[in-house]
Amino acid sequence: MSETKSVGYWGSVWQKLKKDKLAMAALIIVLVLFGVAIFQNFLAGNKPIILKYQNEYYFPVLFRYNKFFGTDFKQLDINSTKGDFAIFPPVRFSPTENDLLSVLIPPSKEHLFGTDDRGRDVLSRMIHGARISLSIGFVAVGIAAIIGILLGGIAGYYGGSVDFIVSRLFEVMMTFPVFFLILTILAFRDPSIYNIMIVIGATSWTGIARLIRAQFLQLRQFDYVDAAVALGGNDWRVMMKHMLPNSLAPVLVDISFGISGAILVESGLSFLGFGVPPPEPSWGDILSQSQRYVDFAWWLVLFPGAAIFVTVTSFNLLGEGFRNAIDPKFLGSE
Amino acid sequence: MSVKELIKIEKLKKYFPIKSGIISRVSNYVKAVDGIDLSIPEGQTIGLVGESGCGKTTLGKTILKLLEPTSGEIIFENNNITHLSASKMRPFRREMQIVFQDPYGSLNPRMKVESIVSEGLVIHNILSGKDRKDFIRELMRTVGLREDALSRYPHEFSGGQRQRIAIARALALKPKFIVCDEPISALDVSVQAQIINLFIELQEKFKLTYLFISHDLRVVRHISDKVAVMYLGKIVEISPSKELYKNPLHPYTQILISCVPIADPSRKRVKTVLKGDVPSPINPPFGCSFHPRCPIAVEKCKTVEPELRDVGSDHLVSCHLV
Amino acid sequence: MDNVLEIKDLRISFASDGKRVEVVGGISINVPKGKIIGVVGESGCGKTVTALSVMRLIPEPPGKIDSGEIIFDGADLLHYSDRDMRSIRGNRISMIFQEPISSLNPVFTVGNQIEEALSTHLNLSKQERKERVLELLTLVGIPAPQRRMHNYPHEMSGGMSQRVMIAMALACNPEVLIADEPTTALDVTIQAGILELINDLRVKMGMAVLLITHDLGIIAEVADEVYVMYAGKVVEHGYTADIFREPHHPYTVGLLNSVPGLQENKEMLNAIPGVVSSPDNFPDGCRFQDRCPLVIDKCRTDEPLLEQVGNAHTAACWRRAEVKKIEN
Repeated sequence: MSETKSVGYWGSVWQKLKKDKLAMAALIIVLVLFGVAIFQNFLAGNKPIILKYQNEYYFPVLFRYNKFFGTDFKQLDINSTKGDFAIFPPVRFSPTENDLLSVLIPPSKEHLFGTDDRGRDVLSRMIHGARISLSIGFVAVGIAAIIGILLGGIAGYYGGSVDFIVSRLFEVMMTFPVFFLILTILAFRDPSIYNIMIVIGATSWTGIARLIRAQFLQLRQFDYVDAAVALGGNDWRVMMKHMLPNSLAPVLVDISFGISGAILVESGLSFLGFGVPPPEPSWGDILSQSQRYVDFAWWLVLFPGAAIFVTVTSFNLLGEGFRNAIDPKFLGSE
Repeated sequence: MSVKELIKIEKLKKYFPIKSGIISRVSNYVKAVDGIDLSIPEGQTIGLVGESGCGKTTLGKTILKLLEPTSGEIIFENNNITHLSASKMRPFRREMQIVFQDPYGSLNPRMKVESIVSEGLVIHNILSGKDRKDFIRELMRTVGLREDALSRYPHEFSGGQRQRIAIARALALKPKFIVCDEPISALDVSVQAQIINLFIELQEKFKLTYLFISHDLRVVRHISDKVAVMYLGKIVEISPSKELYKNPLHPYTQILISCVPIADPSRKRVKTVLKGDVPSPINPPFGCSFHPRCPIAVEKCKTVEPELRDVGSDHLVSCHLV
Repeated sequence: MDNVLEIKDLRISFASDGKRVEVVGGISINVPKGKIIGVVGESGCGKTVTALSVMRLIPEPPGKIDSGEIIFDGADLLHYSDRDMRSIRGNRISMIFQEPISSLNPVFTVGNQIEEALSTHLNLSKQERKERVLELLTLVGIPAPQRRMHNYPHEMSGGMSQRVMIAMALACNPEVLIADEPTTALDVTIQAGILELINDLRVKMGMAVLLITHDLGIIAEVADEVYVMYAGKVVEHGYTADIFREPHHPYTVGLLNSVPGLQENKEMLNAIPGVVSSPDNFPDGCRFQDRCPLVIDKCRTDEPLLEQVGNAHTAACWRRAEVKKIEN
């Protein structure tokens, strides 16, 4: 028994991951993206973060005030009462703020990333697009993971005829060209952000399902599974408490790649015009717009393109780093 | 003084189907356990010896209903548990536990020792809070482990320590019966001795009944009250431990005992080398399943299957020539 | 007695987590011609690493032979080039391992594999090779060799596969056979046959055997001399009969007591308490100190060296004169 601090499995995986410089860089980028997505209104918007007006404090980013309904805060006269001030987000434009006088302006001091064909600030749209892209990535993959784990788990745990039937289901699902399936389904439904998430999730679970099935089939042979049955555990307990925790590691690799995949799919959909409907700013949407102005509005191509590229690459690197970190610890035992 | 019979096994069979062909038809069976009658008295250790493929591990798991019996009856304290559903079986599971051979595969590597040992208590809702914690701590002391082991993970322990954890897990439910499936085979010799001592001590302390499965005759002889010898899914001889080693009657038992290496160079023995290969349990030979390798087989052995007969002093043998 | 193989003061270390850890701490083993030398010990004692080092099969990195000599035929094997070692392995020094199934290549027939052993080192015609294969299979006691030589490893039982491995190892009439736990994975009835075979062949072919095992019973049955290893050191050495009758190291006594023998049923054994320390944690002084019933202060500071206790019998213990075999 070692005298060092006891780290569990995930603790030792984290220690290994920390040594991978590339994966750590990717992790930092992902965390920054998260930060941007969570704090989007603190970073870009036309509402002040803190407002002192007529000697009263207001926080328009966090709360809605009836008093200020429909007010354009930028026009608010804060010089009338002494001591009044307003602290705006660094980017003072909302993603949906049209300014037809400032259409298609290249990056400038006023608009760091330029504007699009409706005068909307591109940087603001980029910042708000982060939340959309990440949400789609996580929710879609979350749905895929739940379906995949349930179906794969049942097939692997029960084996026999149950496995036979469920495996055929996997195979049917895998034969569909997923992207076109998504397009078809979206053609029949309203293209809302939720529908997109659900559709991507419901069509990309087969990879995870096969992984879980394979892991469960292998884990069934381990004695600790028999021990749990001998103690009186029921099927659910054995699957959830014993087999699933020992199967998750490779699945997390798949999830990481899945997130980047989902983001790419959404960008593709938006690019084709089937994505998130306006005025919600998605990166793929901005990119799609750029088609019309590509010969001079380089900022409409570069920024969303770079953002998608960096995000997807980061999740991929993270997934790769994760795969290396869990490698020798693959199965249930060492 | 008659001892209460804890477990009675009647004509127990466990066959594994072999599927072949495109439509997975069952073409044959692996007859792992092929008609076993066994009576396990309370508080005693029944040793089960045999070589690879004889079905001893399958028998152990089937008695515990970790495998569904193909036919036959398992009676635990006068309750027939053979066909009980999982939920009806649950209360009985508290009374019968198992310790496995592989100390590296029998503990969930993702669970802390505390969770592993108290899982039984959690499942059956026994004790809670401080009472449970105190009980678990006492249990760890009983099996010879330090209390701080509870917050660690299995991979931080040696093979012998892991077996102690597995034993603690089995004991947590205060069972009456424990199947010990080759519990020391994977351990170093000096550690084996420690664990053997632990088993003996625990049996005395908690009045446990053991089915001790092993291929090591030296250990089985030491720890068992009665020893059963298995060959190809059947018991060929069963008798009190001392008697078996002093007076083995079945030819297989005799050969088996003669082959065990003894740590005493002054005792040069004549070994009978067993000829031929172990036959497969898929198509066991007709008549006495040992006849192709038996040095004294006669015509009758090839056609008629012998039965276990009592030859006196609680010694049963299944051989035509005894 | 002529020694065909001499291991002198061998030290081997392995890299682990950035540190170098010594796993074999200066051991010397002499293998006289035609004798069976047993090396007995438990996990972590370094016996397998020692055996592999004779064949120079230790992966370097992470392993490293720090110092010592392995003298064979007047030369130090540790200074041999790769090419020279290859001409020794399987030819003049052979090795058989614990798991026959995993040591045989599943995609070649056993006949092919034995032939490969022959063609690597000897210059025989195809016909001569085939004859030699049949000869070898018969020698190791495999019935119907003409048929068996066309079998694949998975078609053979454990015992048969081990015999095939022995046939491969003996194909070129080696002077030394290293057998690393050759029967551990086999049933006891098969084990008896394999041990008998090794003994017979040793006599027939005049070959020496370095037999590595954890089973004292096997040592008692076939070994001429015994080296007892603990935590990377040899703690006792002598003729088999002497070691068993009059052990002079507490660990040897403990090992002998750990095997249930003829004592009363269900009596507690005199087990050795505790576990062997891991190589990165060996204490100063005697490595057995934490488990020894005879430990004194000196044991914790000064490491005992092998000293004479009888005829060709040495033990490394400060209290070697007082060690007595406790009858179980």
